[in-house]
Amino acid sequence: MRPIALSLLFSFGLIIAAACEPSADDEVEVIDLGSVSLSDTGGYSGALAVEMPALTTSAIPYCGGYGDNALGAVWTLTDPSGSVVYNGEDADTSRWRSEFLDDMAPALLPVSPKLPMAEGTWSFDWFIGAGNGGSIDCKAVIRSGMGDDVGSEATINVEIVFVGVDLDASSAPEDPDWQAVMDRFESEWGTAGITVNPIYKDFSGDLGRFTVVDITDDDYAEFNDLLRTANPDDPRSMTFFVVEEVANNSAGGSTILGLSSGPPGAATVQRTSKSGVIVSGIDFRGAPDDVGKIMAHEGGHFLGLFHTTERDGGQSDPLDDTPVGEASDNNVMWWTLTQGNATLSADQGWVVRRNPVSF
Amino acid sequence: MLAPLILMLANPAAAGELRQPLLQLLNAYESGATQAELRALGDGVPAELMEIAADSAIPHSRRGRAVSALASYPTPVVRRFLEGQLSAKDLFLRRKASVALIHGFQDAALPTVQPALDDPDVQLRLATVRALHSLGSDKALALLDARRQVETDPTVKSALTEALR
Repeated sequence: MRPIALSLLFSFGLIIAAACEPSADDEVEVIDLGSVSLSDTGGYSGALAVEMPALTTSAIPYCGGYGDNALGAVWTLTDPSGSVVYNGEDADTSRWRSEFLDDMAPALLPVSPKLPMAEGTWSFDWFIGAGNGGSIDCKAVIRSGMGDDVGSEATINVEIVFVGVDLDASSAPEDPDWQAVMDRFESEWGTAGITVNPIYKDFSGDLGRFTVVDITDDDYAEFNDLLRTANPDDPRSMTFFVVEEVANNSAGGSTILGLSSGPPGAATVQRTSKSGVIVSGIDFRGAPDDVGKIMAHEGGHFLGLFHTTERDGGQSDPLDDTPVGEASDNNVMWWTLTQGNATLSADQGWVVRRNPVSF
Repeated sequence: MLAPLILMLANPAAAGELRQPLLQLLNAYESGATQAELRALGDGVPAELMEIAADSAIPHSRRGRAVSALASYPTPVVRRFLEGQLSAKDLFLRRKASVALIHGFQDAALPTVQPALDDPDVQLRLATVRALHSLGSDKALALLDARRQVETDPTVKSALTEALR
């Protein structure tokens, strides 16, 4: 890794933090897996082979372009030895997981030390449901060059885009409330050895539409469309949009504190419905600590972490060292806000430092 | 001034006991409290939700979630509380109250929320339009149709067009 360069560029009165860069032997490339025709009533992609070269650290194969009204997920994952390591019929007991997602289904490897990356040909078979438009486009992001030797520390370039909140890119670095947000966010990610390199931007799109992102009646068009504007200067960055509110005006609905694309998000893939995280900024003046926790938690989802235990007490994450149930109420990925400085476990840190956006 | 009286009428004995379990639900990252979760906490929930909604020491988003959750308790006391929130100064809580009134009281709330469609605050108009769209009754759609004739904000106009499609 190159030395972290927190250089500040002064340009026309704006302060823009520069992106840090990975070392030359830590590379991310995108491989085209081609297009697949499907029945519009739903179907399987068929086995798509992804060749993982020597010294692969992580990969995000994905299929997308099936629209906001269809759902898709990986149904079968086969490792280079030919073993089926994940099957959608038996998802709860697997070492891996794939959620049904609209429009685009990224598949992150690894999400647990129990299923580490291995050189060779992995095979992915996606199932895409009805209303998919008849075809999908598939690619794979591959991070390689360092293999498993990523160390105990990493940096993530985090682009923070302000959308209709009482803050902008020039004032954020000096705003005490926003810096309290960042202190908590950086402190919680810091428990996994992650250094956050923030890069601030102002939103230049339709503020009227996106100041309050509406997901009433499970219509995620606004959510997805805002994420589709993610376009950091350095694609090896992840984007947080800070809006006034993510609102659900359906019956029984309410404010959503934050939502990540995925999990996992399409790390390093920009301008897609899975290209970032959206956070409600309504509390950043009154409860900045909470907003920092929301960023740490939703960012964790983007990087491939699941809730330690789901809210209903059912499914737990595929990691061995995260406590189950209420015992994990001081973990960043607990389902509700924690008290004090929440932590990430050793396995959670192992996962996020290997994500293609980390370096 | 009305809120303390309403809270007194609404089972004050339970107020406080339910705060922590309710706040745990209201603090959830990705969704608010469901009706089933609220029911599981037993009696006294609406009184505590009103306490939380009125407590300026609690973060805004959680107060808003408490207002939203009150839609699950369509009682006269809750209705008066929500009407008070709708006429208060806080823009965020006003729009939460408008949506909660529509979902909790449906067509019976329409005379109360109709002025919100004419309010200068764009986000209040937008939230009200979307909640009326979600309600989808003939009377709700008639209100939206009337507003469409005069609405000038492009985002609200777009939401009205979508609702009346």
